[in-house]
Amino acid sequence: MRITFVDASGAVHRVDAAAGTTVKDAALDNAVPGILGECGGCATCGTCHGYVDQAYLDLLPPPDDIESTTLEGVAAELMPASRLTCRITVTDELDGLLVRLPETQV
Amino acid sequence: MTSVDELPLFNAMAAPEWSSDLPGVCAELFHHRETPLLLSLDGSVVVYGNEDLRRLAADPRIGNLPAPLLARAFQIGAGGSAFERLVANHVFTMNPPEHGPLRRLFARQFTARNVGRFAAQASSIVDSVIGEAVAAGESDLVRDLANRVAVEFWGELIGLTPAARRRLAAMLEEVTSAFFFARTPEQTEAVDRVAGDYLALVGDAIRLSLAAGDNELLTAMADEFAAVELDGRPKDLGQLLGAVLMDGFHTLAVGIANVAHTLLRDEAAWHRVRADHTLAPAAVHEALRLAPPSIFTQRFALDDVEHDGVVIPAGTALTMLWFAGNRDPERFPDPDRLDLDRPRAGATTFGGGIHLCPGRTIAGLLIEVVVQALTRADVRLTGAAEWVPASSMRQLTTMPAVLTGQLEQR
Repeated sequence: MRITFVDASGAVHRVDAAAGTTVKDAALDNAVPGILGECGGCATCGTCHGYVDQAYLDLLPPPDDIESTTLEGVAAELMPASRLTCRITVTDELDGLLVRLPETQV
Repeated sequence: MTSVDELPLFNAMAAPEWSSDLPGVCAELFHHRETPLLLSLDGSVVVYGNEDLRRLAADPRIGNLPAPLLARAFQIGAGGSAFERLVANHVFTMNPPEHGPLRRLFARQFTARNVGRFAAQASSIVDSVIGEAVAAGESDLVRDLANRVAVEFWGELIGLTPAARRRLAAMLEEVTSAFFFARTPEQTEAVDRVAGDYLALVGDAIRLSLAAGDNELLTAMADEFAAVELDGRPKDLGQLLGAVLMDGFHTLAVGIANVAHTLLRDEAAWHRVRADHTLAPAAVHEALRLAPPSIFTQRFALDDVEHDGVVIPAGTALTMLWFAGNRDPERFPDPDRLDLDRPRAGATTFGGGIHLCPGRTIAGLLIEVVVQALTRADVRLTGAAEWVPASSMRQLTTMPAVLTGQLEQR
């Protein structure tokens, strides 16, 4: 599956990710700048924050309590499209996913 | 499948002073890298590679070492000791279900979004402490800077009186021996006594501040604490927060000193930060990568876990060598070099997983403020800095220096 990240400078990073991996891991595995993932994928740190394109947002299950709590504390602006990328598992229907990255994660 | 008993021994831990040569230990570990896991002399599984540390830390089946086992590992007191009571109230010994809500009530106040509200207070305290050091001439940057900043910052937040802050500063020096690999009976007795005195001092201050009703931070935490209806929670917020703040005081102070020392020893980095304060966050992150306060901590398998062909049975302790994760050449090329331009991702300074240090962001802010203030003054180390030789903390006991010059206006 193809995922496109647009970092805060506007640079575009297109990566391929296997179904079942997380969007956070897809970014880290391909050295996409702007995702830190300090906790390793437990929705604890809020450093894999991204803004999911509206076309895909509705395909995702809503954030659970843990993700919602962590999102409240992220460093960058919180928007309706804000999600933790460690909580998004790549599936066939997410092929083409577009995620914009915030200016800062810390 | 390999059983834990078949793992190669981590021989370096046989010599108590192994913790004094972390670059050497890492070079040895990563040169051989026979297996991703090793066996320590105490029977725990040793984890050292960056990816292995991060994966296992994020595995929900790998929890915290429960308080009685931690007290036993530290060899301080039998069941019911003051030290055990202290660590039992700390989120670092808790597991689900208590861990999540009790960690969150602290972490929520110090997220990346929230810590900015403490910046002015941090700057004021740091400027005052450094101003006193400049006026004094010769200083010890451990005692007169690092310990003072940690005590003054948290002391002000929880309402410690000046006298209580002075007592606490003395306790910080005594509690250092808790982390020694070997202690005299007198040192062990002192650590246990200080643990009890510390929790009483800080716990009482928190209770008094809450009773006064004018501390918004504590009130918010207390409200959240009251909503946690679990049998295993500490008896009140003072007990919980007192235990958690042991790291706020002690580990933060160690972090401040380690960062100051690491940067002062690297002239090029020091001058770059001095010329451009926007580099302070990168400098703090990189200096902590090279000199993390916590060399290792222990985790605990809550269930059977298979990791790269090794079966770790439930009930096994894991020794997580966080310092080694920070110097893994597969993650950090030229790992012993301080590189302010290194991408910020992957450090294991603050642990990982759901047990990631909840105070890491406020600690980072405070240390950045210290670095910015120090680089506005002139600092000259005047004697040899001394490290604690055999300890699970990478900690300086003294760092003599002279600070001169006027702090420029921000």
